[in-house]
Amino acid sequence: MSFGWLFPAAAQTCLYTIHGVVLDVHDETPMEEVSVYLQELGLEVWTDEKGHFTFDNICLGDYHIIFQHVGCPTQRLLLLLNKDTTLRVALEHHQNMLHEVDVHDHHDDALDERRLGKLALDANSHKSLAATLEQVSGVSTIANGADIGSPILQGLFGNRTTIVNNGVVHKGQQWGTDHSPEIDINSAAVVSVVSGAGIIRYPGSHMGGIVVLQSSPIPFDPHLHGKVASTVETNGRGGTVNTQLYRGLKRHQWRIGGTFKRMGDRSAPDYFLNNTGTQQNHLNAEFHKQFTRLDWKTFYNYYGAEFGILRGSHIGNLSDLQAAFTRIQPFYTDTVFSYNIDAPRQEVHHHQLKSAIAYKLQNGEIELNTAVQRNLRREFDIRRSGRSVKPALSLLQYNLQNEVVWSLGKKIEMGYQFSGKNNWNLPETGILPLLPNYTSFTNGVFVSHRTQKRKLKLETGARYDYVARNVVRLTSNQPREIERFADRYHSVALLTRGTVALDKKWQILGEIAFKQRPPEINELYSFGLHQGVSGIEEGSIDLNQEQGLKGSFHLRGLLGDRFHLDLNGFGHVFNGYIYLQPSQEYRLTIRGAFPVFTYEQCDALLYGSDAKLRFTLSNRWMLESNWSYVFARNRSENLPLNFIPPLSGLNELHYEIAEWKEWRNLAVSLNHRFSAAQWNWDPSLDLAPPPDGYHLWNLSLSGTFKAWKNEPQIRIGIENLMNTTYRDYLNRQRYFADALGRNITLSWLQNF
Amino acid sequence: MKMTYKILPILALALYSCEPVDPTDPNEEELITTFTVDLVGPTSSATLSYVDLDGDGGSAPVISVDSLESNTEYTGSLTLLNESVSPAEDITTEVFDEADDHQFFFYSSGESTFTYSDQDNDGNPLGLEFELTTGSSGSEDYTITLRHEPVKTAAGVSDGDITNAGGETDIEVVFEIDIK
Repeated sequence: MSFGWLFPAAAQTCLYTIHGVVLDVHDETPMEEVSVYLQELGLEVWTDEKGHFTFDNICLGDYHIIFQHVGCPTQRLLLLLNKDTTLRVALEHHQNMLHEVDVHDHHDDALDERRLGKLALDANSHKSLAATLEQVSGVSTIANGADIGSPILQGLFGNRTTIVNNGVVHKGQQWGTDHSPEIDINSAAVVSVVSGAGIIRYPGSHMGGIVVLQSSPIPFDPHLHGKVASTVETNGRGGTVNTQLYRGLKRHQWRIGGTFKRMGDRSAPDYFLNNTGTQQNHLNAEFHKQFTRLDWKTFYNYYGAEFGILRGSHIGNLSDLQAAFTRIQPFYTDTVFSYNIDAPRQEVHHHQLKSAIAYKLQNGEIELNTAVQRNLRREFDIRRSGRSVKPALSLLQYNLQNEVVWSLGKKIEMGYQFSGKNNWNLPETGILPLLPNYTSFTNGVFVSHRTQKRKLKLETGARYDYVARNVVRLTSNQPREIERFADRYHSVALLTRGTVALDKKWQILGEIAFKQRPPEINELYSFGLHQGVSGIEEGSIDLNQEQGLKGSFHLRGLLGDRFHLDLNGFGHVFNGYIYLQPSQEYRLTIRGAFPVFTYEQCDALLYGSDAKLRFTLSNRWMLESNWSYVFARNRSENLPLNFIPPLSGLNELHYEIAEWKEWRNLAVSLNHRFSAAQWNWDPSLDLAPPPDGYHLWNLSLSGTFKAWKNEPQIRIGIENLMNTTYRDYLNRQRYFADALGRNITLSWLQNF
Repeated sequence: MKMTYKILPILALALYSCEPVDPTDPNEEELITTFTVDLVGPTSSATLSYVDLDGDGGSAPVISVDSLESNTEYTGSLTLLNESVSPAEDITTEVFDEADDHQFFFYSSGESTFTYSDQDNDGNPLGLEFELTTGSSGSEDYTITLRHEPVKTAAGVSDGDITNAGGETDIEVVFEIDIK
């Protein structure tokens, strides 16, 4: 949103005029039927076909003007009225669409990122980060139950993805397929999946794109503003409340917010999923201060969560596992609903504190950033004699990241980064730990460059990291002895991409990127029973760095005025791809036989495509279709790779009405989600065959109720409308139980 | 602001100088290392044992069995120990004290039959004490399983059928028996 104050003219008290024009931020076309509300006086006008609006005979004073339009996040602006004023307001309308002329600089990056803005995040404030990201085409989720999930970007997840929150690489225990990133989406205003030169500056183990969460700038407005968003859900009989408060003064701004979420047992269409409740408490705070040439921002985030894990998914040995697979209903299915969270469960506490200093130089800008993170993860299994209250896994991690970055506009960016990590097991488990204790230090340098030559935008980037890791663990043989390891890695990342604007309607890009990734701690050293894989997991200390070469292309454009196409394709060749291979032999223990999984390396190939088609039928009707497919092959063994998203589609029919009776911005969406069975699969790779494909229907109805002074935004959603029984290939719970049945949600969002 | 400048190097140093924390030997009090079956017959007695002192990984378990007499009734009792700690811990009493949450299941691949001789507080079988009747001579596999938190009220469970029991397996051991 941008504002401009034009030609002031003299006038007398209460004879002032506010005149304005509302434009689309992308192509500066006038926007019709935008509601413009002068809050202090309770006056509302609508923009005409040229985007104009006028308030006459207004007194001297401070006014809040609120702009609302279907498909746009609500915008508020503070006006200190002391003369006749003309406003020029730009609204973000239907992002992710290419418009005829992209006049603003920041839309140069339209092809580099796919984003979820305020509207999408508000509609999903009760969901996890991974579940919310599923709406971005090409993104799926690897999950364990309803709330634990981690994003998959073009077939890559866990150690191979990086999540950046407030500019800081998020560090926790990313290694498990049953570990969620410890981030609350409610503290962010934009969540995007980013590729291109923009990702070179982020150290991390990502082999493809990264996920970036950003908070919104705090607009100038000395009054206290904020929002309350609450959602109640029928499946799980719980709810989420999020509150954000902010205030923007000339020289400093602040924001503080919190989220509380309580859910009980979820249910599949035919039975309760016992012990699948959740409790989450999150806090976010930020403070910005501007000096003459220096900008200081500080952020604090706390994420606390307790996740219940389906009781029937905890297994003792191979025969328990096989018995669980053959059940129609999981063991321990109870007819009584409960909010209790018992073992097996996870408890996580994550703190992030960041300070960012930006200093404007004669040439460019220099940034000095520091962040500290503390991550505590405790996992509780079912144990004898009341030991279920003792964690079976208890890991504490401290992480420090420092960086100095110099940039010249968007042209050149270079910097040095240091990060240190100390990760250890708390000796409270009474179990030989799955992972060793370790410290890890990374020193990295990077440089990236962008140029624009007529219709071609060229980006290149390179980075080098030196990783030094010291590891200490106990031997698995009695008597236990201490073993020490020192790992050193040099890793390199290179990237180049070109974007061509073919004409005003079509853009095409091509990219080639090379990256090395040192093996992670779990891939090298894990040893022991891991409930997250239902077996004994063993690392291999002789793993080498993984190397990936990825080529991608992206085409985006408009056919006529109504048909929008976004087509993405990639091929990713890996050398030394690290994967968890189920062994054909079983390990005999006193508890019987266990499946054994070991980390191995192979040459791998992943390729795939995602496509988004959007058809604007009229001002009111819109049809959208998203499809994505990834094919993955272990070329050394000539076998498929595990946990690759199957063919999936997301289709949506959307209908909007600007005003109807007491409502404004009414929108109805019917969406259809399809997932095929994973046919690219081999029995030697998995404990059970992939589940069948499924179709799900979701419906949502949202609008602003204008009869009430504060104009609440109300949304009713029905997920799994037909109460379909299904299992999702990428959710570990599918081995044991059906996925969630119908869920009706009611959300209430109040801006003030 | 000035504080930030001071704190940064200190934090960096603190982390740099840090060697990883030395692990402490976990007191694996829950581990079952030794499982012994004592069988007392009218004329002879026999012992079956399974010993794995270092838990899931490391060295392979040691299984030893005595031969049994055909068509003979034995009185059986089970002993569970954790010998990874010193002194060795008796897990038998732990199971006995939590009898409601535990049940042993016995299975023979041949003619031998097992009957429970003990009960928990609810009158459901436990299996620390049992009777074994061998059949004709030959070789048989005995599978003895200890389930934690089984559903004892499920169909067939109190008769010793494991099919509907559920729960987690704490012990599952197969002994190859020679019946003379």
